[in-house]
Amino acid sequence: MGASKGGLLQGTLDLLILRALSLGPNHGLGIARRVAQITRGTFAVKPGSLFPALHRLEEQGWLEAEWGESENRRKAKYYRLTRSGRRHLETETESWKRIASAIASAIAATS
Amino acid sequence: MPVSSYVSSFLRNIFRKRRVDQDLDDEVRAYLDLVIDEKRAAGLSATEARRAALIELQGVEQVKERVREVRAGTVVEQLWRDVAYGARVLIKSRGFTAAAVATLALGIGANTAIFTIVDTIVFRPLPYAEPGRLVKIWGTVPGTPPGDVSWADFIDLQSQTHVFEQVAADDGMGFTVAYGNGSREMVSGAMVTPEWLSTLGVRPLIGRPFLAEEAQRGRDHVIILTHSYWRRKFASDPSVIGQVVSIDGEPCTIIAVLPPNVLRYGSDFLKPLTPSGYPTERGHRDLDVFARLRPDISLAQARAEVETVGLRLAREYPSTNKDRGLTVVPLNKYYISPDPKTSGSLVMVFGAVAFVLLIACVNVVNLLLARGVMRGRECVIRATLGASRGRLIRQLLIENLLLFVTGGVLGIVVAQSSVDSLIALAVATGYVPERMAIAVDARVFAFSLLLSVIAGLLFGLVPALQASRVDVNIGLRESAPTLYGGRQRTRLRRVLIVSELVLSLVLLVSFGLLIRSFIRVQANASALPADRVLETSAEGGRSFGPAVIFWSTVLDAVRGIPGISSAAVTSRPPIHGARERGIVVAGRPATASVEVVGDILVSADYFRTLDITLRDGRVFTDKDRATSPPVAVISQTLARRYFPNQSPIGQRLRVVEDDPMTCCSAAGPVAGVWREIVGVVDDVRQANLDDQPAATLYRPYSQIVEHDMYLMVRIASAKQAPRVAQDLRARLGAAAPGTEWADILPLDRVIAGSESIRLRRFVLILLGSFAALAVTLAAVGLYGVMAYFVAERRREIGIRVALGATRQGIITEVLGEALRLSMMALIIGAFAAQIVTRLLSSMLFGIGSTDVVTYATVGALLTGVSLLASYLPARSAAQVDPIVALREQ
Repeated sequence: MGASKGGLLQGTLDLLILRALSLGPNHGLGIARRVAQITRGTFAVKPGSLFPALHRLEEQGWLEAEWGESENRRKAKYYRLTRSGRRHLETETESWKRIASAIASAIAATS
Repeated sequence: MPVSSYVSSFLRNIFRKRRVDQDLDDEVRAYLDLVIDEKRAAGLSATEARRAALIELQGVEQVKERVREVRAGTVVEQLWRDVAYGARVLIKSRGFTAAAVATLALGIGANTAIFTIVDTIVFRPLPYAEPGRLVKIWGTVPGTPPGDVSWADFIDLQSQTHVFEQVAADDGMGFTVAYGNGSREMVSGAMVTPEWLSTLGVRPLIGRPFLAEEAQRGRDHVIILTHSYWRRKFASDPSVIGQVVSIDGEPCTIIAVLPPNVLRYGSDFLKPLTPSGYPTERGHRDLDVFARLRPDISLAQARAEVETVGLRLAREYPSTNKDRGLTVVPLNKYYISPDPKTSGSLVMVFGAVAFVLLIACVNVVNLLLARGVMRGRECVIRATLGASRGRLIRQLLIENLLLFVTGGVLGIVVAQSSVDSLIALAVATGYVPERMAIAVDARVFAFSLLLSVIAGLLFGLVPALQASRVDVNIGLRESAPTLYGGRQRTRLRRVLIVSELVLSLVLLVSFGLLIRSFIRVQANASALPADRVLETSAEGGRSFGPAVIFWSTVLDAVRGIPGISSAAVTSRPPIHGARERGIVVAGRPATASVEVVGDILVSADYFRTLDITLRDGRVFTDKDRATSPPVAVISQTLARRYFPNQSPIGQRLRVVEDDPMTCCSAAGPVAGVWREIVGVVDDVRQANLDDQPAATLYRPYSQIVEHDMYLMVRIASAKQAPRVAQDLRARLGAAAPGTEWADILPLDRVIAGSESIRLRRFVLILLGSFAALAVTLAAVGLYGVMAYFVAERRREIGIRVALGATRQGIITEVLGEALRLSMMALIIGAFAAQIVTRLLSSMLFGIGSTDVVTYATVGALLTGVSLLASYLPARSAAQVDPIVALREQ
């Protein structure tokens, strides 16, 4: 995981995962599909990146996990945003917006 | 990141590992199932869906491994596993581990032992309460070094200053002590004011401190022993409190013993200073004064106030205090410290033992490199299984660290057992004045561990790097050991062995130079007939007339003893130093700072008794008396300095005496007395054998005498000494009943205890041992390298023997390789030794740092050792059976 993963930085993946969970709890596969959906197909998260990220976020306290049942009555581990995770998401979103607009204006200025 | 969440995850990962792993496995498989469902829903068959899902997953184990990598506590867990693995590996290869650990234990242990001693002598803070607040008060006279203070000035200091919590004073002098068993000796004691102990912030170990009322004549028959004196003379017996000994003929009770390392430099016991029994004139200056600053006062403030008091006293008492002042300096280690020469030589010993450690470490590195061959194979396999180079290096490094730390721990044991003997040696050779309490404690532990960790990191890294450098493709294909040997590794080992030899060379050269200096210094002493001269001393009294009669009576009595060829008295025998006095030579312009020379009072036969040759004029005779013209005899250095082009005989000079004189008494006033120079004698080294001879002035005791003088008698041969000593004591007892005489000792015993010999002897023994250890280690290392060198080339040697090479030829070649390495080491080592010995120059005497003899000897020695060490491998090389060698892979 790093800058080489399809240009995706670790922090960005974290943000996408948190965003994907902001509407409600989900299991690993569901999160991956949702991320693909909300980024309009740009980011297809492989399990090799997804699982480490999920576990890391959980250890850091932004997510909680518990076992549950999926739609097809399969066992799956569900992840959910914690309160501090939600706060972290807001902060990170704000700073991302700032960065993105700054870069956008920089590009606009030079072109 | 909420810390609590991280911490609980960390703990969970470590202690609930199995459950966490199981959970992870379940989760990944559940994911897999969901993907399979998805694919089936999209229309694939069961097997196709499964295959597609597995491809998308890229392997269950890989995913799990990646999760494990980012888990909290991973690093710790891996480190722990590396440690456990490393320990298992080391235990399995017992021989290697034992050799390496033993080498390291020796090297690190030696360093720890020396550190313990250096730490106690040099670094440990004084055992006083807040030693930084203690200051020394000196009396000053412009143009001369700072000196002692008078009693009257001391009292005024106490009453007129407000910057000190307490001010105390002491004065050291010699006492004759008689013990219960009848033996007697001259002992150094100090008279102290009542606040002495409390100013320093020291409580007696046993017993009680002096009381204020004991500072009065009659109540002052109490003494406090220093710790080492208690150990030395009273066998550390706690019941010594209350015992009575006779001090200068008066019975005194022992009331306390001081804690260890509380020393008034050179003194064995303390006695109360009684003003009524002490010269209290303002002009009599013999007191050492120190004080404790008030908590809020700085050194500068104290100095300002004390200097003001000094000026005031100079104004109020112009006759005694004119031009004199007072100043304040931090006490530091004034009362304990060995002088700079001692600590300088300690640093050198420390350096030497560090070299030994370096050599030991290099040997271990060589061992590790040799073992790296096998570890290399293992590393290849692990790399194939997915271990990164970083992981490999980390594991190997941890293993090497384990080795070094084990050596360090064992080294503490080595240190513990050798520290006691080192201290005993130090005291026996007189290097330290007394047995200091040395403790192997937490500081020492920490030092040993720190040293082993640093050494382990430094020296364990290179072998770790070497062993982990594996190209997986090549490594799996071939298994020939020579592949792992490699040219680079051989060059590295060559470099290592040469550096070991260089270090040994530097040590040996240092040792060689020092030992030659020692011999030269001792040669200086042999100019005197030291083994045929006995000395003793006693108090002759402070009143001139009776003192002179006393000593001439003694001389007459003693001359009659069979075996004594001549007898004399002197205020200072050789090696005892000399009082320093300023002199003024008639006809020379007076200079602002008075020239200072050594001043000794002697009897007529002194020069004859000590074989000091007369160069010009005459020595004193019986005709030089109190009533005859004042005369003097000077040493050659003094003559050359003042009378380079003329004979000094007949010239006149004057001695600047203290007024009033404290040490000596004369027939009349001494101020302004001009003396005629009647003779010039050879120089004698009065203070240290390695000093330049100093300018010395001799005056006849019949004109001016000191209150305690030394009696010197000359005997025909050293064998007679014990018998003559007995006779002498008997005769002295008869001639001067009631006088306490010091032990009768031959002069060479005194010289052997002199500073220049003492310092050198201890350092030489240590340095010699370390040099020997270093050479042994280097030889062992060289043997190992050559053995490996031969083992690597077995096939090649086998081929050559098969093609007709002779045994001789093979041996010569191997020895030639060793010789080549030694030559390189000699050349580099010569340069290195040059640089290092420049630092030694203060301890060298009569020898330049480029002494050819030393270098040549050491070079030959080292070459010989190298050849010896490589002989066995050379022989085994020559015995290679070509058939066996060729069959080997």
